[in-house]
Amino acid sequence: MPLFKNGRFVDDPWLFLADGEPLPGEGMVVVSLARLLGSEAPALADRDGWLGVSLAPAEPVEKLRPWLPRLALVALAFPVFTDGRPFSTARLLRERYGFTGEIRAVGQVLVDQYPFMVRSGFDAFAVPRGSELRGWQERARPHLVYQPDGRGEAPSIWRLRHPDPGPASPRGIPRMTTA
Amino acid sequence: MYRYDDRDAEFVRERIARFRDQVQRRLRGELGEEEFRPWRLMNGVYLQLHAYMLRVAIPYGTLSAVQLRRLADIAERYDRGYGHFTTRQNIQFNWPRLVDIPDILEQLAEVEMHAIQTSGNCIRNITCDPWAGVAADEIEDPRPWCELLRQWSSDHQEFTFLPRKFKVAVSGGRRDRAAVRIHDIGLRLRHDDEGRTGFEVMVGGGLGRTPILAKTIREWIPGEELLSYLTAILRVYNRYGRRDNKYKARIKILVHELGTEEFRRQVEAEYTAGRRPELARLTVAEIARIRPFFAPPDYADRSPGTDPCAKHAAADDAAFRRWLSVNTAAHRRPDHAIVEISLKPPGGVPGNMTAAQMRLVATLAERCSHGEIRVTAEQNLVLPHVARADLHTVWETLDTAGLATPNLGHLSDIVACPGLDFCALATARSIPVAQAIGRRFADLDRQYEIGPLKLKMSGCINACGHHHVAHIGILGLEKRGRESYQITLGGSGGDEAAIGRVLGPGFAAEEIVDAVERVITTYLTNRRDPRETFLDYLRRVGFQPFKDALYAPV
Repeated sequence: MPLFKNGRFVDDPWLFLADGEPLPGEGMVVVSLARLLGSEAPALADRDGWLGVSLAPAEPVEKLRPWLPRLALVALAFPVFTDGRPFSTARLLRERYGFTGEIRAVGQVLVDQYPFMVRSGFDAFAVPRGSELRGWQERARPHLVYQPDGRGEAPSIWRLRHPDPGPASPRGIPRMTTA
Repeated sequence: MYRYDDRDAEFVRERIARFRDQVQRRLRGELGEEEFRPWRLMNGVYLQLHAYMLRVAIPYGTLSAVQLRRLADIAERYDRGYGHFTTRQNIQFNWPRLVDIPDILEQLAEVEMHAIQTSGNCIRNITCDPWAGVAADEIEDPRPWCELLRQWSSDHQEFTFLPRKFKVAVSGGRRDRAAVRIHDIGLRLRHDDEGRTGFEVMVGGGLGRTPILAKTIREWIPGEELLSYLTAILRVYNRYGRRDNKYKARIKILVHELGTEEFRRQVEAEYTAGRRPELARLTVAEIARIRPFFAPPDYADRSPGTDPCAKHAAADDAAFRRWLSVNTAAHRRPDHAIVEISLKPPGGVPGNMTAAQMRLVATLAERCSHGEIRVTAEQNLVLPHVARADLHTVWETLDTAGLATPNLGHLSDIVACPGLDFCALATARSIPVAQAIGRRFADLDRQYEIGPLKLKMSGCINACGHHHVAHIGILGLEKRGRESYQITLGGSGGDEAAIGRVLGPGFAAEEIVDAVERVITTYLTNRRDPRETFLDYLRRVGFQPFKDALYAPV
């Protein structure tokens, strides 16, 4: 599956393991959450080589917390592109848990969703087979937004308007006075 | 009024460019309808029964004369010479061609308008009190906050693919004129003891097939924390709202299934963990920037001793007097008035307005309302700043265009969705029924005798016509291939919000007007005295007299 990262298509060094597939002795592997938390957990923890996990939309990211220092990739699945749960998951990983590894969108990943995904914290995109790859190179770029939540990829209008937005802890907003 | 800066304008232009690209890919067949649908919806484009429909946002219901004139141009060029105002401070144009829509959006952008998020499973157009900034009972003008929310919710990276649509309303009056309790989030602006601005937060209201009133989950959140708090609510909803059944996907079902207390606990936990000081700092700065846009206009002193209206009112000008007492309201300045423009002429289509009428109102607004117009959830317009000295002229001008029907808040001020004549979801017609009721009760003296009455009708269970919160609600369904109209009684919006109850089996299209007539006759015959309103009477005696009148064996 073509992998889009940092504005271009790159080779994918990761091996996504199905649940029944045996764990290879070395190499970069991605396992399901069930497998990560199951009987193989000690083997996965001790194993040499980078480890990743894939999460279905309903699987709570909170369960990953003890594993995060050990993980280099979290793949968030979009079984259908209209299921917006992974956007929240990605933001929690980046903004609350400080995860700095790769967050990859897999499944029904559309180029039109790229700006929303990047701003939520995704930085790798498994583009479904049959997608027009040229379209990704042309269209996958962030644009001007209001929300100040992005990690710098998309310019926030509010940040541009208020480069020095005042004291760190505001003392509240006084009532509006009208003459 | 708020004015775009270069960045707001660039944001809208860039968004149109993206949509133009999506439309072209759709037309070339590179995007299937399935993949195209969310993008067209988020840009206000519906695929209706006969054609596309474009829903344009009128953020928090505030419109300039220049903008209204542009809407007239679009109505003429792309629709059939009129537009339809909805119950959510939007205007809809029927019949545009998909290929033309990016051009229409550019013409709207020239006057700082857009159709962003007027549909789709995202945060919809933010609505508010149509009398914001002028109501005599106002705590504070909520529109700076609505504008903040408009910006914050536009292209939100996390909340654009929610389980279902998401509606937010804000009210700044002592009385709630924004029907906040029938919204996914309802906000009521309040001051704390130190004079700081904040909000009571209500969650989980909505109509549709499961009508529920929103519950308060926070008595007061300081203004600077509003966006962090809303983020917490939306995040809990985005993560845990149901996605297995579209009829159970609204936040009201999540609140109901978890229970209000558990929902509140989850939101508070998320809020505490996710509070963003930067968001608070930017809110303070942005509110300070936005507020001056909503400063009151430069009212000239128009009270030269006597009230010039009194002269006309005292004269034998019964028509003007009627209009004055029914279609105007108290302004915060005693020498001014709020003028309601009825879009409900006898036999007319509720909420429809021709291009010529739009231009007339635009010109009138420039002359007599500081260039400003408001749009209401009851499908009427408002001139918010009319000097009392100008009221007679304003009335005369409106009357020449059929816009002075003095029926505000009365029976023929009917709210109705487009129904089966246009809508792909509808199960029955609403427009012809509304027209027939309007004609039957056209007599104004009879309407005044009946007193304040809200009649609303929806052409399907989705309840766009808000029939659940009408004193008399009509719901059009389809029963064995025929239209069937159910009557609900006792609903109410605003402060005394209540969901109406279904009275009994439905009526055929040719029976429904008579059925409404029997409901009215029952009330008129049995009320204690003329001061007992329909709703008071119903609350006193209950449903039985109405059931007897409608269903008793002859």
